[in-house]
Amino acid sequence: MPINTELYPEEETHHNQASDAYQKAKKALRDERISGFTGVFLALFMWGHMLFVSSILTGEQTFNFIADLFEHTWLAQITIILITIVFFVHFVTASRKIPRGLRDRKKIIKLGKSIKGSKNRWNQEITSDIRLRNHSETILWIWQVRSGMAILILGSIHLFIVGTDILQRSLGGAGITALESTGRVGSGLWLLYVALLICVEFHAGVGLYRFAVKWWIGKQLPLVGKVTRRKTHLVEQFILIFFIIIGIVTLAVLAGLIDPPLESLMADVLGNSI
Amino acid sequence: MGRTLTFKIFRYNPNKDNDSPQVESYQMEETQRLNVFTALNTLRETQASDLMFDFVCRAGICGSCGMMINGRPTLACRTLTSDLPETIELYPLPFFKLLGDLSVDTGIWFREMAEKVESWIHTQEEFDPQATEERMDNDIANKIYEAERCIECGCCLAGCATVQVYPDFLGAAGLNRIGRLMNDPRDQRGDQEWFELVSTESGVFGCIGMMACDDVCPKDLPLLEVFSYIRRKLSKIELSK
Repeated sequence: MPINTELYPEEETHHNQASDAYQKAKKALRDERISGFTGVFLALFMWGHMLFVSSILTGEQTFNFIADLFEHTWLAQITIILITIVFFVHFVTASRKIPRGLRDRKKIIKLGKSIKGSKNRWNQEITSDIRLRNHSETILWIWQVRSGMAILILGSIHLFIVGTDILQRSLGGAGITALESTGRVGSGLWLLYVALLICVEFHAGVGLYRFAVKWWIGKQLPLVGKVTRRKTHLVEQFILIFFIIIGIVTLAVLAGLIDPPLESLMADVLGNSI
Repeated sequence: MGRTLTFKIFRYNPNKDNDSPQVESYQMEETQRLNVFTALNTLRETQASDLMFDFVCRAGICGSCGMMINGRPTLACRTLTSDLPETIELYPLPFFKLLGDLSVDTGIWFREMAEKVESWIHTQEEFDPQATEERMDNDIANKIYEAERCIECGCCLAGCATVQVYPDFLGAAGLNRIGRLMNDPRDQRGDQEWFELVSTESGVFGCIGMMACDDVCPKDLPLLEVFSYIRRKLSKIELSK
């Protein structure tokens, strides 16, 4: 005899793939997958992007070579269209979790602050019988929302500027060059780029950490062993600091504050190879 | 020489006419190995005879004495005052129905959750009280045992920001229960039934991933591991269709 409760009316107990319940469940999984995988895709893209932009550290020549290569092969044009689409899809699917009401958002902040702040309101010895864990992820999520909103605005501006550049190249213009990029960053837009850099690296780092915890924690993986919060958090922090340092130095070079630090190294390499 | 502790306790009885929420201070001398639960009993005996709070076991097993202790949901009986500064603030767990002062009714939520997830072994097999119990794989038995350690204190829900803004969300306690039943080979619910029950915004995909449940659980349950197991399992079910 099938169990029939008030909470599970009869029509919902007929399990087939056309049922409302199944379709709803499928949609929930699809939304979660899309928001997660678009996030991972964007994070990986940003790291690649950072490494390519940081080619300016070895001098203008390499930077121009890479920019030219991507534009010449139409990779840049395809990428910017793809990234713009993924960027907005990620925004729509990931923001579905943000409570619409201000009161609800304040509730999250209050609770997050309360648990995070409790660290200073307890004075546990290291030898205490029951050690309490520090907790910051609730507040990190709030900052992820805030940085996400900042990226939505700043990133859109950046996509528009770069998109126009690349379009110009397609129409016979110069496209992205070291000269144009240094001019852009040096003209005062550096402020936008520093903010964007920090927001992106933070948002991507915390997002990947959360993604890994959501899907893989407790799983045994080759090389790394059992995936734990501690391991994923350490990896996230390392990557975050690494890319913020590279990003800041790159921006300093583009703003003309320092000379490309690896230029002489590059010259040596090129000199030797010749 | 022991310290003099100041307890700032939230006082409000919703069943009393004209009562309004307030925080009252009580002082008492700290004794060796004093825990918050014992301190509350002493306060009730000596200073505040109408103070409401829950307890049964005094040993972190019954899950009754969950409360916010200096901003953190945890069990009063497992909290030594020596781990706290001289001022100790006590509030009832948020999210649950307040019965009065520090006492909340976690039972309403847990009953509703149990009904929603149909928290019993679904089987068509007739029970034979004379038969020997079926053997179970040790790994599975351990997994079930881990999930069964939940004492339903409600700390995970009180610490979860998601459940407080989306009250339909099953929360860590609900998902842990589902994980326990999903692992149980005696539960004959099929893939599709699990998929429809858990792959929802009130099920595992309602979880934003703020991880407070994992940090505040007084029993150190591997909650996040259960969620990721459920996520992967649902994903596999969907891919196999």
